[in-house]
Order: sequence, then C-alpha cells, then structure tokens
Amino acid sequence: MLFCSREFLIFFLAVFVLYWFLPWQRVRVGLLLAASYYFYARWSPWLALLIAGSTVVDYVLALGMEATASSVRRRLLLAVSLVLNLGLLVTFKYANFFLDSLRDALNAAGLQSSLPTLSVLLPIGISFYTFEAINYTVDVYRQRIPAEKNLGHFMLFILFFPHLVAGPIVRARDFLPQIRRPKRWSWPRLQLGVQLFLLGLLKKLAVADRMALYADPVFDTPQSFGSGALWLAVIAYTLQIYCDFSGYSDMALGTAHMLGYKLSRNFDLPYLARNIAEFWHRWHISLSTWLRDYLFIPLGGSRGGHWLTCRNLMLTMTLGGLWHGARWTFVVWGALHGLLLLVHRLCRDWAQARPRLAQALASPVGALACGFVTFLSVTLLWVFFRAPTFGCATEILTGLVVHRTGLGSRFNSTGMWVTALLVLLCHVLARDGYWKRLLARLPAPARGFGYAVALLLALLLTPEIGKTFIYFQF
Amino acid sequence: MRTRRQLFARSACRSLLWGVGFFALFQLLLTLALEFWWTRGRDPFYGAKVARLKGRLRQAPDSRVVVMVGSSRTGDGLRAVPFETELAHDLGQPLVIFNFGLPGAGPPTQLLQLQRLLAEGIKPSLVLIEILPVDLDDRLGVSTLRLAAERLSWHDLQQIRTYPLHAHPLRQAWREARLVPWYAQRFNILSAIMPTLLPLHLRQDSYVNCDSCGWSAPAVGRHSPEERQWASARALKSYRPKLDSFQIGPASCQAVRLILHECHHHAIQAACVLMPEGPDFRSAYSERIWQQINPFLDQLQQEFQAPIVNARDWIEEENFFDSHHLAPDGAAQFTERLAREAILPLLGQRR
Repeated sequence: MLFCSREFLIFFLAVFVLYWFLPWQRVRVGLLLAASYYFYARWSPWLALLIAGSTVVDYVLALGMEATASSVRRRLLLAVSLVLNLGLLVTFKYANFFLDSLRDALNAAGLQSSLPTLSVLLPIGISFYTFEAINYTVDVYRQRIPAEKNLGHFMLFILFFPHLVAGPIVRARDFLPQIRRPKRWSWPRLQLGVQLFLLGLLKKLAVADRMALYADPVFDTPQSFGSGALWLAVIAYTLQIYCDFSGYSDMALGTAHMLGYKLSRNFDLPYLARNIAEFWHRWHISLSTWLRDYLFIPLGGSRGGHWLTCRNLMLTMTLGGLWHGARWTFVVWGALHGLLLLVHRLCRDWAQARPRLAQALASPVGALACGFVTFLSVTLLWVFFRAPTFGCATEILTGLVVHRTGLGSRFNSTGMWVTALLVLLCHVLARDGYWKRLLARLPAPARGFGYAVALLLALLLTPEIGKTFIYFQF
Repeated sequence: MRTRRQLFARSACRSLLWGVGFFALFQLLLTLALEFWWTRGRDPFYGAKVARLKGRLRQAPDSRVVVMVGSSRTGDGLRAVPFETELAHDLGQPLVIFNFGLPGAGPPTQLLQLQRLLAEGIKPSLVLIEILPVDLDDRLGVSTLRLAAERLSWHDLQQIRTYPLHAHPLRQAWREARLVPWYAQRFNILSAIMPTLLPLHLRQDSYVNCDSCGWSAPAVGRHSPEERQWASARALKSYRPKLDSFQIGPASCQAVRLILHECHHHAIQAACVLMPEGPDFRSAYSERIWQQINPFLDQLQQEFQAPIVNARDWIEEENFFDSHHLAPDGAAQFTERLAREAILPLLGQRR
C-alpha cells in the first residue's frame, strides 16, 4: 500500500476515524497495532509473521538484560539480539550478494565454484526495522532507557505503519514515551499533519515521479544518449531521489501527526548544504545519526587520532552505502562519500589555518561557491547510487565529462528546468522560514485555498504510471 | 474570552474545513464545465474535430455534410481537402466532407460519435461507416466501448444503455472519474494548458491542428521501405491471432446495425466502407473469415439499402505506413476514388 494510493487513503481514513472515535488509550494502541500489522501483511502475510516474531524475541531479550545484574549475561543477550537482527538482514538482503561476489572472485581466480543461489523474498522495510530494534536493545544495554514491559507498546514501536516501511528510523527513547501518553484531539496538530502530508504528496507525484521520466530511459541505456541528455538525467535523478524520499518522510510524519505521534524530521534542505559534512547532517538524518551513535562512536569516533578517525569514517560510510542495497555500486557510493568527508576535514583544517581564506569562504559568494561544489559532488555520486552496474555508471560519468553526441532526451526539457527552479526557489524560501511565516499570517480561508490547490496540483501532475518509493527497496 | 491556544485551534479547524470546501468546489466546477461547456477538455479528440466541423458549418450553413466514422484507419485515410472544392462544384452545392476517424473506435464508439453529432444539431447528408473486420468478433469489438469513461458526458452514459456491450464497468469508472475529475482528466487538462509537460504518447492535442476536413498530417510524412516492413510485421503480429481465431459475433453485428438504424431513423443516407489494406495485410485473411462476413454485409445492404464499398484492394503497399494505415499520398488516392465511386453517386451527382 503506497501512501499516495487510493487504497491507503481508504485504509487511513478508516483507522483515523476509528482511532479518534475510541476514547481509551489502550484500545487505540491496539487499533494502531492491528492496523500496522494489516498494513505490513498486505505485502506478505508470511513476512509479517517474521517481523512479529523477531520483535517478540527482542522484547524478551531486552527484558532479560534489564532483569540481570551480570554484565557478562547482559553482553551475551545483547550479542544474541545483534546476531539475530543483523543475521536477518544479512540472510534476506545480502546472502545472494555475498555468494555471487564470492563466485565471481573464484571464477576470476580460475577456480570452479558451485555456490548456490538462495531464493529469498526481501522483507520490505527490513533495513529500517532491524536498525530500530538494534537501537532499542543497545540503549537498554547501555541503561539509557528502561526495557519496555508492555509487549503491545514495543510491537507498536517497531510496527507503527507510518515509519515501518521506509523510515524515519525511530529511536525507542523518543517513541515509547509517546505511546504511554494519552492523546487528545488537536486541530493544530491535525493541520500540521495535513500540511506535511500534502507537501509529501506534491513532492512525490508532481516532482519525483515526473523526474523519473527523464532519468529512467537514460540509466537503462546510457550508451545511446548524448552528453546533454546525460546531464539532464543526472540532475533529474538528483531531484527525484530527494523528492521521493523526503516526500515519503513528510507523508510519514504527517500521518503520524494526525494520529498524535511525533516522528523526527528526516531531511533539512540537504541540497543547500555548504559542505559534505553539512549535507550528511541534513540528508536522511535518522540514518546518519544512527550510524554516528551505533557505529562511528563505538568504533572510536574521532577520539583516536587522525588515522583512526579516517578509518572509522570510511568504515561507517562504506557500511552505510552497503545498507542501501546489495550491490557494489552502493558500497562504492558510500565509500566515495567517506572519501569526500575526509577531504572536507583536510580542507576545513587547512582553510581554518588561513584566516583570510576562511573569511572568503564564509562570505555569501564563498558560501554559494561551496554550496555549488557540494551539490555538484553529491549529484555526480548519485550516478553510482542509481546505476545498476559499474559499466553503466562509468558510461554516464564519461559522457558527462567528455562531450559526445547521441540521442537527446525523449521529453521536452523545459518542464524539468522549470521544476528544478521551482524546487530551488522553495528551498531558499524554506531556509529563510518564509513558508512558516506565510502560513502563520494567512487567514484560514487563504490557507484552506492553498491546501486545496496543493492537492489539485498533486493530482493534476501525477504521471501515467505511479512508481513505488525508491527507499522501499532498502 | 478565548485564549491564544483556542484561537489557534479554531483557526486550524477553519482552514482545514475551508480546504475541504475549496477542493470539493474545484471538483464540482470542473465536472460542470466538462459536462456542459468544455467538450474539448472532456474528449479532446472528438472536441477538436467537432469544433472544426462547427466552424466550417458556421461559414457555410447550407453545406451538405458527409461524415465518415471509423477507427485510426479512417483518421489517417480520409483526406478530403484536396478534392472537396472540386466535388462541391460537381455537386452544385457547398459540401463538407469530414473525417471523424478516432483511434481504436469500434462500432459502439462510432455510434456514439454519430449520436453526439445529431445531439449537437449536425445532421449529415451521408454517413460513411468504416467496417473493420476484426471488430465484428464479439470478443474484440464490443466488450468495451474502447473509449475512456471520463470522456463520456451524462447524456452519453444514458445513450450507451441501449448498446450491446458490458456497460456496468464503464458506468462505475465514469462515476469515479466524475468524483475526482482533476485526476481523471489530468492528461486532457495538461494537453490543453501546458502540453510540453507531457510525454508525446500522453498528449491529447494531436487533433487540434487537424485540417479543415478533420484529417491530421502524421508526424512523419514518409517512411523508408525498411520502416514500412518493420511496421507491417508488427501490425500483422498483433492482428494475426485475432484473424486466425475470428468468429463473427451477434453483439458486434448488432452494434453496426444500430448505427445504420440511427441513420435510417434520421433519414440519413449511409454506406459501409471496408478500408484499404495492403497486400501483406490482405493475405492474413482466410476464406473462412469472408464466409462469415460477406453474408452479414449482404444483409446490411438489403435491410438498410446501405451500399458496401469494398476498398480493400484500392491502394498499393507502398502507400501505407504499416499495410493498413494509409500514408498521406495513399489517403489522397483513396479519398479521390471514394469520392468518385461512392460519395458523388450517393449524393446524386456524377463527375
């Protein structure tokens, strides 16, 4: 069930009406749990059993950790949880990837191999809910949060349908207290939820799915297209992935708000970042903070000197790339981002040692230049993220750098450029808080008119065939 | 005295209610516009053509009108502009020959186009009805209207109740489309206001630039022999299974009868036309198919005094795009011969 489908609209309306009609918090939690389970089971009833089963095991393990005073036992229980969750992830998502890679390596070395190919169905959202389970058990182990006694509450934390399939990755310490808090009807909260949902819908239907029309044909057969079409496709994909993923996140946040829950923001205008470090503070915030707290810092963070910091950064970003998908292109994408972060650290330290240069970079023109370089770097690296193979990525990058003739884009590029400019304008206005001030000042009829127009635009600009959200595949 | 919080809550409530109200209003306004005023927005192909025809009739209200209803074969094939003036001269009266061929239009759609024209006060002197053999098979011809539900008006919906087709899914789809017309009609709306936002295959504005007789020049005027061969092979691959399993059906035949009955009821002369097909395409027909179709055509001729114009072998292969859609030169040849052998005699004047 996609958020922008009629099926989800009917489902959510039914849940919403029932939810606020019921006055008892316990029953509401039960309703949300049942609805979330139904939401997931629509994809696959068997995989819904899997997620329910792994959630129950984590619940029991966390209770066990809290019940024992022995640090060895606590560590053992944590290890079991980590092995279980990472084992699920590796088995369902990476098993064939590792087997295929091993097979290719053996073949390249001239050795015969008869490694099997497992036929596994990738459970949707597995990368997200395993990370949420891990953050819970680690926080319980570190005694940052108490273990949740109520199984229903814990299951709702994992299964809550707005964030279940593609995030944001929710922290137990942020979400579990919200479940216990009684919810009261709030018009402002409902309005905020509607605003976020409409924004997400507009981003997904009017921008992301349209940009796919420019990007998909080129990434399918890049060798046929000229440099102009390649640049168009790469920029279109840059817009597509941002609007697709942030659109989903906005809809998730909006849906949660409408049910009285607050999820953490996942994007903060990442394409306005002035450097790559800032980009990762603004892009997929829930993942980058998770990687920081549960991978980078446990590895030692930046406390062990320059080379250890570099190692930790590269490991974190490379594994972050691998998290996105079972393909070497994702790994390379992550590693290249790690490399950019290292380069940024070096450049930052070098510039800070030169006050006049630092001043120039901090000036409006300098900031603009830095922002442009960051945007360009991120855009070029998206080629690895999107391309199905290294050959495809190389073909595209070569065509971007070395001019070549070939097919032009099948579609008129005016629409794409107009969309890109509008997205940029909206970003700049959002950065200055313009939208918030405008919405606060507008009278109710004008705001209502705006909501109606936003929904109409989303409907009007929906392309022929809707696409699933990109991050569903992770 | 209300607190700031209460005022904020009240404002939020009101803005949401205003939003719902405006959204419903916009849907209603568009539904009404599509139903009563903006025909081209509802059915761009029909709307563009009927607007062109009405324009012609405003300039020459005494004209005798010849309309041909059919599929894309008719749409590509009837090219009357080069001959209309001469024919009018021979006839001794102003004459409008108009091409109402629409992509995918089978007998039910052709009937609907005719009834729409009559409802708009346009009464042709002669109606030419394309007979596409595969459309006489119930499994292919009449199972659906082959017209998207959102293109129908309320009046159309009442008309199709009498058609021999499964109209329930169509009525349901129509209701859904009328509920959210901004979504259902989005390609029509964008084609009208900003066509560059749409990929070519979704644009609905191709007939805006049709000529004064309703014919649209194709995007590519000439095809190389290799391109023609490739297109013919593709067309035959699509049609051969249908022709191999062809079985004439009563519902399809009934749909054709209804068109002729409608003409008869309004005292309009009618003729059935088997459109040109290239030798490659003609070879795909077996004797078994004509053993089923010919008696039906004979019956039509007898029952409605409607001549059957068999133009299947009129045009050489090189004047087709794909052995069954005429290229511009082929369309000119076909139209000239059709005018000489059918239109003028039926309108009562020989060249």
